[in-house]
Amino acid sequence: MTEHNDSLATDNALLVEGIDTVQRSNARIAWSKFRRHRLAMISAVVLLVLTVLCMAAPIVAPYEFDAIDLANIRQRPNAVHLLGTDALGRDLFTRLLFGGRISITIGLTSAFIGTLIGTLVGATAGYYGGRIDNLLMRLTDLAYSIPTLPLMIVLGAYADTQVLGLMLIIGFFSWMSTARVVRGAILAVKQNDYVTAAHALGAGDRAVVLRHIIPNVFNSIVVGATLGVGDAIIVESSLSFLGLGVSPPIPTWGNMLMDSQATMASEPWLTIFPGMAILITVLCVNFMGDGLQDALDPTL
Amino acid sequence: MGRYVIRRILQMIPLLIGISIVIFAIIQAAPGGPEGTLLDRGMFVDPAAIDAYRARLGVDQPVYVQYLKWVGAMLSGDLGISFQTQRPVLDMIAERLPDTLRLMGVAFVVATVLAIPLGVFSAVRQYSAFDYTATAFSFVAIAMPVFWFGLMLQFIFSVRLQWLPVAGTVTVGVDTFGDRLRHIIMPATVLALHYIAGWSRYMRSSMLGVLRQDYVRTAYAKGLTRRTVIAIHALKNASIPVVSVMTLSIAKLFSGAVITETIFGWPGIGRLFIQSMHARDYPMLMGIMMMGSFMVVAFNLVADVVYGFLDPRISYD
Amino acid sequence: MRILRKAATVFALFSLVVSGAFAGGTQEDSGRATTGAAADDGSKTLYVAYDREIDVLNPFTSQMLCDIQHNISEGLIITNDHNEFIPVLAREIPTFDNGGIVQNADGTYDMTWHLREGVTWSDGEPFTAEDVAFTLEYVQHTPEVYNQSEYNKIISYEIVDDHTIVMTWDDFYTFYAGLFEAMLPKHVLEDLSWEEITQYEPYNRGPEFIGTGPFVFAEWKSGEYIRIERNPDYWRGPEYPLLDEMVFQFIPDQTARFNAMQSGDYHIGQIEATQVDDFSTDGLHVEMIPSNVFYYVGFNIAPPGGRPDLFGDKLVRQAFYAAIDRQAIVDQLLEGTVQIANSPIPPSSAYHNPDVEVPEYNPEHAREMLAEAGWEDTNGNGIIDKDGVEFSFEWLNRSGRADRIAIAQVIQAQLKQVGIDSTMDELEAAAWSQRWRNFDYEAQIGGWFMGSDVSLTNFYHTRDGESGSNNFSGFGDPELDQLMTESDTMVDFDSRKPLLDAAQERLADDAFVIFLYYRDSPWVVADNLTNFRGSGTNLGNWWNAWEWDLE
Repeated sequence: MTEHNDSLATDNALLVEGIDTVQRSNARIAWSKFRRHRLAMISAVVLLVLTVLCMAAPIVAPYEFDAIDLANIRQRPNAVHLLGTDALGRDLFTRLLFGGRISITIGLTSAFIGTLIGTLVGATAGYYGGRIDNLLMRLTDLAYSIPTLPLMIVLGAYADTQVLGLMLIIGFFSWMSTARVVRGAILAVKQNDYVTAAHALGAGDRAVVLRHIIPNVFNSIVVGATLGVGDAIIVESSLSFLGLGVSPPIPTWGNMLMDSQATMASEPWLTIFPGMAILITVLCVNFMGDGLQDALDPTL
Repeated sequence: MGRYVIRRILQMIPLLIGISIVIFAIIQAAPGGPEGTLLDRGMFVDPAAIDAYRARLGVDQPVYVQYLKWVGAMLSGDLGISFQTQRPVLDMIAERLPDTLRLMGVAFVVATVLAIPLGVFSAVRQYSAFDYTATAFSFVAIAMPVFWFGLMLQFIFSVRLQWLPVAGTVTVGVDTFGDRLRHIIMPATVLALHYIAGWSRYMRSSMLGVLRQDYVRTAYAKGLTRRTVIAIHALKNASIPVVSVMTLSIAKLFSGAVITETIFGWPGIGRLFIQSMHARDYPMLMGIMMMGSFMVVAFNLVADVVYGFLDPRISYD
Repeated sequence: MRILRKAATVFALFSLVVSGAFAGGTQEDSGRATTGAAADDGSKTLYVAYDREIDVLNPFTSQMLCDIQHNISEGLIITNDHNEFIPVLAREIPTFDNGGIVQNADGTYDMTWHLREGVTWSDGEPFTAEDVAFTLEYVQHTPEVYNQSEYNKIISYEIVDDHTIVMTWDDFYTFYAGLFEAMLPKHVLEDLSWEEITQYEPYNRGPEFIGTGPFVFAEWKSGEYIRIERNPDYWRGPEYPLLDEMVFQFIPDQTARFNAMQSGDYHIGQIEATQVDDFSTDGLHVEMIPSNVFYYVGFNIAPPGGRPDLFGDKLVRQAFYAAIDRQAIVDQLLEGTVQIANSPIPPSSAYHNPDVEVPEYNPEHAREMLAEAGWEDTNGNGIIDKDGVEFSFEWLNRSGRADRIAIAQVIQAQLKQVGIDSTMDELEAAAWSQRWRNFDYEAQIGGWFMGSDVSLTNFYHTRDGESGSNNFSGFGDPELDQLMTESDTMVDFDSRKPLLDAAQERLADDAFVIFLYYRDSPWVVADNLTNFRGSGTNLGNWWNAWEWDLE
């Protein structure tokens, strides 16, 4: 390349083009690998169906989520109420759908926030190194060292802990491991020849990070984010248990599960259905994460 | 090595100061104050009594004054006096710690004994029926909200079968080993399940990585049996990252298990934290959070040192 | 497909275990604490599933219900299951009739307490009037005692002899007999300053917490239980108390506590109204205990949070009575375990006015009342409005209590039927009380504990600047104020009753609080526990524990 200094720009473009092609075929390989991971495929389909159903709750649901009917409380599953009714006579199936809407949204958004912060911090630290790295990593240590659930309990006590607040709280406390993983991966990738080469070719910092480094740590980020969705759903239910979740009458799977605890013995369906919803969702998320890990792992 | 440790210890100081500021600020800023407990009974309370209460606790002073006082006392080993119980925070933590450690310790040991073999076998027989079962098990364990699982166990084993007691560490007046064992089974199971799930996954992937390494292939090539290779070469190397993960889990032991302890009436640190939170018992909350954070920071260092010790490829300078 | 089968097997196994446990039917195998009255050595231990850990033993500075403490530290009086004061360490409760209360020339009142003779503290020291005086001094020097202001009306005292003390009050107050529900042992604490007593660990925590009661402190396992033992020298006679030991196990989670009671390991414990129907364990039964707690809807019109535009009109507030189906809440939601309230004074009190009338539930009527007040749905969005303002507000609700949260949701739904829109903000107790005390809310659903004395002043008197009652609503009614204040100084029942009756009617008419129901607490009690007669006052269920027995 040194012989063709004048055509550097073209070469650079070609190089980038080349990598893009490689990436595209990588994606194809990953996709075919993922498809072979049956459990992951099934999970992905289940999740997709669940998510679409829940998001379409206002259209799909047979009742309104807060339609109280004191004449028909605690009905067993029947033809009129597919999954029965709760202690206030509300249709459980309807609430499960609306609850899923909130729970899945909390899961996705929190995981997104966590991943975004984690990636930004990790990438910045890993790429620039030196003082910036040191500062950001100490910050990560700090956030990592404070016991998370107690801290969330404190934050959960703040006024107006509605859905948005909850998403922010969960998101803000789940970025640390992503940051560390991304930083570690970047440190490793930075050593690689093609990054040095891209730098030598005059590519800017941003371009190098975006085009060369992020794609290579992509698999860690994606897997982390996937698992984060499941974690966030579980955390939401834990906070509900402690009375710090989303305020009623807005349903979430967590607060539905919590509300039904008192009558677990006599009205088991009230506790089993939201429990199963959480279980299935988180299970599928994890299987999918597992599949993605295999699919994206370049060494396999 | 010695210099590395000293440097790390020095680095802990600003970290701990940072942590203390963050914790203090967040706890102090939480809405409502310790006077809330005065109103908790739902009875009339003279407003003058509320002011007097706040004044005696010192929460009527500016926040930075409270912080400096608190840090000053902490440096001399005094974590303050609990608002609620009028007792030294340190005493109360010391009182609760043994039960927390016992519960967590049992869960920890059970989890270690089960998770490591589970992970190893899953990896060795990747994609086998065993592997899938183990995977499904750990995912189910991760996907079950703790409180749900705990109350479910109670319902089955205490209410229906009447085998195990619901709450406490011991039947008062019956203090035998068997009795204590019966009390610890359910909470320890709830906690252990999550560790097993997490660690066995870790062990599996670490083992998978190692099995693909050149030296393992070389060992096979030298004609060593599969059993020997796995037991001697692979297991040792695969354990290294898992050990460091487990070391960090030990650190988290000290902050207790908030939900499990609440459900099983277990007198540990986690429960203490919840009680103190409702009462806005600032010194107690700060004490528990600081201790928890300190343990993580300290064990982080331990983990790194252990890692370096186990893995000769890493050198500290 | 093999994989799927494996996963399916795991699932099936799991659900089998779960469903098996549920489908198991009733297990008739309870051979534990509840049925066994006495241990092998003949000693009788009562196991209590208690809903929280208490903070300190000192009954005056504890911020919680002191029913554990009263087993150890007796007072001059206690309340029984009929909401009446009965003497304990006092020989009788002073009244005008028995000459215990006399008015002095300067308008002050002298109240004479005659103390029981032959009573000793559990360490053998005699109990005397010195101890009563010491207790009074302590409370008057300790501002955080929640009802210190009541003790402060005692301007002086005089110890006549070891068993007689005269207290001089600046005026006559109805709550006079409700004080001194516990006693401090002077001989243990006299060397400490008042402030030091409050922080004195051996007293707060146990070893030096002594009293004259039927039980003595034995052990407090932090976070787990408190154990108290029989006082062999109890003054009621060597046969009392009949129990040898009581263990209060702290089980804060309500489902766990319910499970604990169902497991048959405990003799007594409180459960939730919604769990009553589900409870069935051999050897145990549920008792509904009137708890002196009433639930209500409160409005705020004071800044910064108040909404005078919505709640300023009495007609609008009264319409809430017509809009809320209290009967349905009581019958359906709370399974008929409670009674509708029209006033704050519970029916267990003789001062309860059963004739108070409020608008009946009738959504049509509610709409008419609202329309009369100018609130109609002019823009067809389903929410009534007036002068361009939608009738839409936010509830401030306290998290934690399942029944209150459920009720709030029902009320919200019922109001929606008459075009009133509301959202809910659920806060944990400390945060809740901060906003409430600062008038930073629009409307709330709350519960008050009516003390043993049914004075209403502290709840509803117009607030005077920074101090005064707990009426954080911006409302006030001078006529009501006068009725309440006057009733507080009325000497005998016959002259006090009409004033309180009128006050209760006035409150219903003003409607700045909408009364919902009197909460009765369901307690699970062992069939073989005798003489348990639950009391819903602030002095608790253990008032006669000296005569409890397990048979």
